[in-house]
Amino acid sequence: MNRKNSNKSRNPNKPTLAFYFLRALACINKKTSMASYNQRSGTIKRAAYASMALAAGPKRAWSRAVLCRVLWWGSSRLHGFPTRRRPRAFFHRRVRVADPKLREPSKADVLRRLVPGAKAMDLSRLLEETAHYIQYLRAQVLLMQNVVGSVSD
Amino acid sequence: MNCGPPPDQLRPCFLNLNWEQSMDPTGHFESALSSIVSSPSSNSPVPAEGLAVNNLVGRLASVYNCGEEISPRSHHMGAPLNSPPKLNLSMMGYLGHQQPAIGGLPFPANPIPVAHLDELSADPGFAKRAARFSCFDGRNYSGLAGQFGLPRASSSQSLKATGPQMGLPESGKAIQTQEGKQLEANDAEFGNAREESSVSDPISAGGEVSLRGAGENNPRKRKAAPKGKGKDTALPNSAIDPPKAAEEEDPNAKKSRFAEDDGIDKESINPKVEQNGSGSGSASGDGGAQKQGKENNVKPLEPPKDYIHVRARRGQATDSHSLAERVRREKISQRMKLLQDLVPGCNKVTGKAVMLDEIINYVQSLQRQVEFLSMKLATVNPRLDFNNVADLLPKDMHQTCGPVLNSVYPLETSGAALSYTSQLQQGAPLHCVVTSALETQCTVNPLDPTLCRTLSSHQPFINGFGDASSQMGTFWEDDLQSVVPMDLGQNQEIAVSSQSFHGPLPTAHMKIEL
Repeated sequence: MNRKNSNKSRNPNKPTLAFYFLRALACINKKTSMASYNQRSGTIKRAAYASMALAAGPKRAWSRAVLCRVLWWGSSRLHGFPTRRRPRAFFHRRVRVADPKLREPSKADVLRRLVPGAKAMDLSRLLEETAHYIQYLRAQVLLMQNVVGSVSD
Repeated sequence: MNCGPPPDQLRPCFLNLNWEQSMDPTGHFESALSSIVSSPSSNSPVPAEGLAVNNLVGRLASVYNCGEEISPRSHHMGAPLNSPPKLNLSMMGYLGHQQPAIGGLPFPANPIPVAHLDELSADPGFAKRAARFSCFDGRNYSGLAGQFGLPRASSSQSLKATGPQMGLPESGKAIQTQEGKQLEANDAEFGNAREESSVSDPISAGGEVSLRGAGENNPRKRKAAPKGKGKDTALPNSAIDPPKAAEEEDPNAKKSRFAEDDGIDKESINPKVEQNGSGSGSASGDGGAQKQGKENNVKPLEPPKDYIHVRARRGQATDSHSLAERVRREKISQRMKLLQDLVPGCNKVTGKAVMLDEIINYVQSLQRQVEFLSMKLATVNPRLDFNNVADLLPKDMHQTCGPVLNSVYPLETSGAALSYTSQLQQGAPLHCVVTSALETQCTVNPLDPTLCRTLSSHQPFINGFGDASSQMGTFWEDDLQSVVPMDLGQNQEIAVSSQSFHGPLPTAHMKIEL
């Protein structure tokens, strides 16, 4: 059963990804022509992650975390809201680690920092999330490359 | 009882072989086996064998403290053979198989050709007892050992009291269900039982694990040794008959994880054993159960059933903690293998640390690529011509998107959007993306259901999506709703791509997907 699920969710749905991303691009293009280049690139980056997370669905921890993060970025940045504490309670299980600050960050910890939403996972779950995340990241990069390629031609 | 030549003649033959060699249980059995095996293939070694057997049995009992009374006899075989009915020692399968007269030889002497033991005892009780006991085969030995609760040399834990006691009653129980022929089934069974342990459920005392594990290696070793001598083994075949009882008993009674065939030495011995067994099995024509046992023995792991079945390896601890640890480690290694396929250039990398480094590097590089590409897109964005969105399609996208792009759907009605939603499955989202993007003011975080509702109030074509937007909340945690809704009219950069009114669409789409 676990194997079935993993296979199903393994392959990112490329049309969906493209849909979200292109839609985002279109909107950004429409809306932000006045904005600075940096702002635009930041927005596009967030749009990329958001589309990735949307395509992945809410079942993965990283997609939920990414969306949360993206929303937080947007809200705090755009409106100048006081930086709120990132809402984590729903997403992160607190795992008490002995002397977390004293421990030298192991490779798994580095990976946990990289993969969004994987802070409180054990190693096997972390590896699973990483695999999924890599798949979607790669699809997203391919999509963006295609877009850039076709636009710049 | 028929007694052939005086026991004294053959006694030395038995006794001089490894008799006193090793004191550990396995060695003990090995010595016993080898002694019997190497007995000259005389036609009537019976009395001597019986004596040897009795002696062995006595030693066995004393060593393992089976709790059964095995009085070593030094004379007529009939008596000693009849003596320990409770011992439930697996007996030579072929004994029971071939000659009912062969009584309960309470001691496994596997490689002995049947002929040797046929005349062992004419006692009818012997036959019955023999029938009960699992046939002693190379494989069987494990079962035998299991029955006795004999620990392997490597896992002395099985010497715990629970082990032997548990092993014995269970085996006795099950074995008594059947008499006679199926000794070999038992024999093969024990070979199977280990593998089939995964079928049977869960986990009982670790003692049993060690028991089984204990039994496993010895028979193989011992069988290999005798086989190596080129013994004529009618035995394996005889063992073919083994009691199915043992088979049935095992799944029911032995709910434990069994030792896998694990060590390399075991594996090497296995094929030898199997070959011999199968060879002789086929010769005898009874190879059925044996072959099955062979397959099971060769196959290292069973496909996982409902829960994870773990087998303790030889020489490793068998308590639940280490087994759970092994499960965890195997899970992790499984995932690492998956990751190895994902990350390019990691095929030759072995070891968790290096692999993790590679993964980290890859993830970082992908993230950097996303950032770089987004910067690039920011420069070229104004040039995006959404009327030619088809060009933007990556090559690996559905080609069905092409024809749809030519027609622009008006999105002023919710119906259009809903039909659009259905089209999503056909892979033709882009034209809708374009038109909707052009016609809407997307300024708001679309994931906020409240936002969507306000949006719908402002924009008529969203009206139909009110329900869908509320559905969005069901997909995403409530936390998303806590994001402060932005004003509609503001021309602001969107944190998320223009998904405000499209919120329902992805929702519906995701619903379909998920």
